[in-house]
Amino acid sequence: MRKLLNIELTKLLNYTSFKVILILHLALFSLVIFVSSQIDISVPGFDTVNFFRFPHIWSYFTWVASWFNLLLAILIIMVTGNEFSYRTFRQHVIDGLSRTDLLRGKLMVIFLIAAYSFLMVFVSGLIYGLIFTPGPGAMFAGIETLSIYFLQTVAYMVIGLLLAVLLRSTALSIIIFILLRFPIEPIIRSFFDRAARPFFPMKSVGGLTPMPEFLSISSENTFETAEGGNALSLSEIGLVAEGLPLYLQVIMVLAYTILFTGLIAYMLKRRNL
Amino acid sequence: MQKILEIKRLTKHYGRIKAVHNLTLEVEKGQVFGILGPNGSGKTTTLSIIMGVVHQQSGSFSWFGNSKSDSGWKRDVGSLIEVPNFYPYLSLFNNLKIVAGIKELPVADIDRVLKITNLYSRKHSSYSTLSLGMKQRLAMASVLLGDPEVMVLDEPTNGLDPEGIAEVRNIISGEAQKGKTVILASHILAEVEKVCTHVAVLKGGELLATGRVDQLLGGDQVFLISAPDIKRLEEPLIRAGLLKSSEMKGDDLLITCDPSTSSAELNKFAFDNGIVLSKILPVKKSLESQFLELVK
Repeated sequence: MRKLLNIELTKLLNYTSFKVILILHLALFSLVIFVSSQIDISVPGFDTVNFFRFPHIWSYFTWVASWFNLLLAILIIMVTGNEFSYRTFRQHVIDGLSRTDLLRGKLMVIFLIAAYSFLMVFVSGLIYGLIFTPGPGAMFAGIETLSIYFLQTVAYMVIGLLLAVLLRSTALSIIIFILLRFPIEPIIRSFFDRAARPFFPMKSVGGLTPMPEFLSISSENTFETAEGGNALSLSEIGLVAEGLPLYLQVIMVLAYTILFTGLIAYMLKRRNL
Repeated sequence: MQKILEIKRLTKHYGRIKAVHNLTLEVEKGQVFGILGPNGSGKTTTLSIIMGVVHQQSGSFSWFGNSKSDSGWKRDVGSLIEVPNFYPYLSLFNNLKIVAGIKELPVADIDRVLKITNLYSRKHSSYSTLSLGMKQRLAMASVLLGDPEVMVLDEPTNGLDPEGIAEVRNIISGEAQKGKTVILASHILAEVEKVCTHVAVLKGGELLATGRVDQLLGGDQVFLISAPDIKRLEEPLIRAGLLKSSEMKGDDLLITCDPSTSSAELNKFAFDNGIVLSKILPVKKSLESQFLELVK
């Protein structure tokens, strides 16, 4: 395991494009967070500063971070596409890696990137939360959103890896990945029954970090909602489509991730390199 | 002799094209084994199969008589198949570090192989800045990494200048002298003739001939002889049963005799028949003519 990690790190840490995209990802997220923290829309009973207070900050930050998941998928597609275009996967097998090792190495890269983005949201969440929350807030309430975000990034990158291994071309994989999110999968979804639609991979992965309940958060009545359930949620007033319960989505995304990883392993095993 | 590589009835077809067909080969320890064939004869496919990057349709192969584990044997086999495959954005050192990592070799060995291949001064240049010949030499360096028991080389002198070709051949001969086994695929006859002890000739994915290079080269002895009025010698030679065939080459006569015929014998025969030879030149029948006969 350590051997594979060292090999992958040698490839990544000297790869300029990789570092540039990573920095871009970090910069874009920080910028959106910073700018939105400077805009304070406040009317009696409604204040956007609540997004930066514990515990709402976690669902807001993971939602914002999920806008940039495409960049993470592009990262894994790029480094995998390179292995095909430089024919280094082939060379690795000639030099002694097993085909399973090829997959293990790339899964490690996925976990490294996911860990980075997890830390990014976690650290910035702590910083902004501590600045904006008056008094002791429920700091770690709702922190499980972060682990769901982690799962989401892993799942997106596994889909990216699947495309890269299937198509063996960086450019083509990136294009297909983007088009799959919109419009390919939505079009395919529309042919299916309404009840079946949330079960599609891109839809269910994307649904893991839903738009925060703006109305209830900004008017600070979530706790009432949780207890009394009186306040209207975005889906109830029809602003966003009703989704599946979160636990079901998590199970589904886990299943997709395992299924796709199996497919990648099968393709790497069976094909000539 | 210890068997290094055994290939049994190996077959790989790409659609209707027979890349490798029913190929059986054996390579023993210490041999410099040439796989010779024109382009598209299945050399690279064979090497890709035995290195595990292409799946065969049928047949089997085994390294070291299956005495080593699946991942273990590759540490003892340095391999260059087709073109060098490296990361263009990485330095030579980092590229070799990856290979060393895969083979679980000490990083310290990298300097040694870079010096052997004359690339040490470029250690920290990125691979993309190398010339074609240097890239090929780096691939040679990666083959030599860890001082492997066996080297598998596919056209290792591709793209090299004459000096580079000589260097690579020296490296191969040097390794062979150390008792290393070398498997060398090439379409260049002279290369196989110069460095190999054994050869297998492939055409259209099928094995045409295999054996020791000198045996495959053996057979009839050919001489180029010259004298004023050399034509006069032809008849006595035929009558004496010494001559198999003859052909005029300008003023010289090219004669094919029994393998046992020596120059001295021939000279004496000519003198006894009243002809003083002004030239007597044993011609080694080249692998090229042998090869062309075989692949006809």
